[in-house]
Amino acid sequence: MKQFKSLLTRDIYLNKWSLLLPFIVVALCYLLIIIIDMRWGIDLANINYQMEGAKNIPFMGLIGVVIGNIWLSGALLSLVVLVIMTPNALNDNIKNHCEIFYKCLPIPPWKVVASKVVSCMLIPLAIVLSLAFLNTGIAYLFLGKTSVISLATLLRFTFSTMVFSVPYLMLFGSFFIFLSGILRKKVFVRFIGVLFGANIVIQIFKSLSGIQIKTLSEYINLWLLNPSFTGSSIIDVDKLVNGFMNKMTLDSGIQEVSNLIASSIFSWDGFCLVITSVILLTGSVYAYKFRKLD
Amino acid sequence: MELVKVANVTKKYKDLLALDHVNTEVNKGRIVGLVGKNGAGKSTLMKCIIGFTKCEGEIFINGEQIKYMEHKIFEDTAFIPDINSLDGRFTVKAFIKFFKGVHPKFNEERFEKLFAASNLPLDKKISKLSKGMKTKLYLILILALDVSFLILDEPTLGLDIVYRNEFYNTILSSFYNEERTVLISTHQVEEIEHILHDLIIIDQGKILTNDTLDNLLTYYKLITIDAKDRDKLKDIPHKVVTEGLSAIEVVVPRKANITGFKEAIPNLAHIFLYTLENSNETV
Repeated sequence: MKQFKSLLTRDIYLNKWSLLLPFIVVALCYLLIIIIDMRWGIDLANINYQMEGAKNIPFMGLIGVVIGNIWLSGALLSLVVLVIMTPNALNDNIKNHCEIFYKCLPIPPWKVVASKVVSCMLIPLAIVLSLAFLNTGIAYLFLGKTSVISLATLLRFTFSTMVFSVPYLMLFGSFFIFLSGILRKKVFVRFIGVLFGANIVIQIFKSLSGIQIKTLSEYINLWLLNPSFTGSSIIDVDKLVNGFMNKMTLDSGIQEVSNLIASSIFSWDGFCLVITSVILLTGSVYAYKFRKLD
Repeated sequence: MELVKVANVTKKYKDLLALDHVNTEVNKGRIVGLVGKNGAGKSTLMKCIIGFTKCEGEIFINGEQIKYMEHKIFEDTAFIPDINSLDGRFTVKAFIKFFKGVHPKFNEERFEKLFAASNLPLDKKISKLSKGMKTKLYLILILALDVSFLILDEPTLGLDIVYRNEFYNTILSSFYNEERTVLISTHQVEEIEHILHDLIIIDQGKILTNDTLDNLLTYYKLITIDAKDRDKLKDIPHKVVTEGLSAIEVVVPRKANITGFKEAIPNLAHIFLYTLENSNETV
């Protein structure tokens, strides 16, 4: 445990700026709002009035702010986890020419990978989730007076969206950790390059041959929507719409949507995502253990 | 009693034969020098011993066969590959804290004693330290480990003579005891002569000599002869180590039938040069 704690502390210490990025971006957003307020003034009463007028229309007003907040959180999470941290996870020592030093320590490879999972996937998720809660709370404080939606419902909606994203985050995160165990540098750039390259080749092949095939991105999207290949999408959209419409109020409708989104991940599809990431993480342990030293 | 046993180990890099059916051992409680020219196979042999390189043959440490890339070996073995492999992103303080936590055999008391004498700055980033300071830090960390086997691969490469001396003296005074074994590779043999018990000479992937220093010094003699008497060496395996205008210094086997010249005890560098030159006729 002491060893794992030290590894985790090391990973947090070395990635502190990446982990601080969500705080910095959110702080900049607030700074922008404050500057706009100071320069031009933000009329909260007018916004509240408009929200009151739109209170029965979904995806407007406060809900719009919350969805915007979730979108921002998702974007930050993707940036921090998928672009910065996990692609560099297992090859950061190679980049810094100290791989051999770490290989000369009696650290089991699974602990190294586990530390990366916690520092590069779980901690950013926790940070972004807490910021999303904070933003939702602040939005409610200023705009929630006249809303028919309760703060608890909004937090539930934010939380359920995050719960839904966890297996996807695990999948993409573990995929990049695995790649970082195999490739020695430029993991993200190479992956994007291969993906775009393959898409272009398939498109050219399609146009020249007339054969109807999908691009690599389309195949990946299809699989992500139905990882268990059962034929139905991971989120049952009809069920979601019916669930929302069957509720009497906007508040209870959003609660129902939150329940359906969060529970849809506890399914075969969600299980397949988790299993795939576990396989990828196991592969990462062996890739890290047996890769050649310079 | 042997700590390391290398049995019939061969390592090839494409067309290059780095180790050629190497058989050797390192005994417990000894300071052993592994010397050879650049590219002789020293680093490859060391990497094979700690399992960093795949090779044919078998290697045992304490009777246990070494597996490829097995971290467990480092529970009781420390390896300093290259001073520049320290993680430069840390401050000295943060790095020490990390190292303490990550190594189960870290001896805090010994570390405090060594660090107090080092004058290393705690708040400076490792990347900003001079090479000498990095060496000190690495050495202090490694010497603070209660491991029984220390492997050093050209540890003083690029360091000035003051640091090199300090480095080897610290190993002797702060780490070595009869329970511990040290294997040092270098091509600067004269620097480690005073601390060695045994010597392994390797050339072109083959072990030429593995013997105690005491024995080796009795096998050879250094003679000074007039340059004009050079013909007398014709039938004797020898190595001219110093060539002057009127006299030359030559290493010959002690049992060689050549007398009447000034004799002295050769140093390690002389024996090394002799062995390389007469690899087929080593005593």
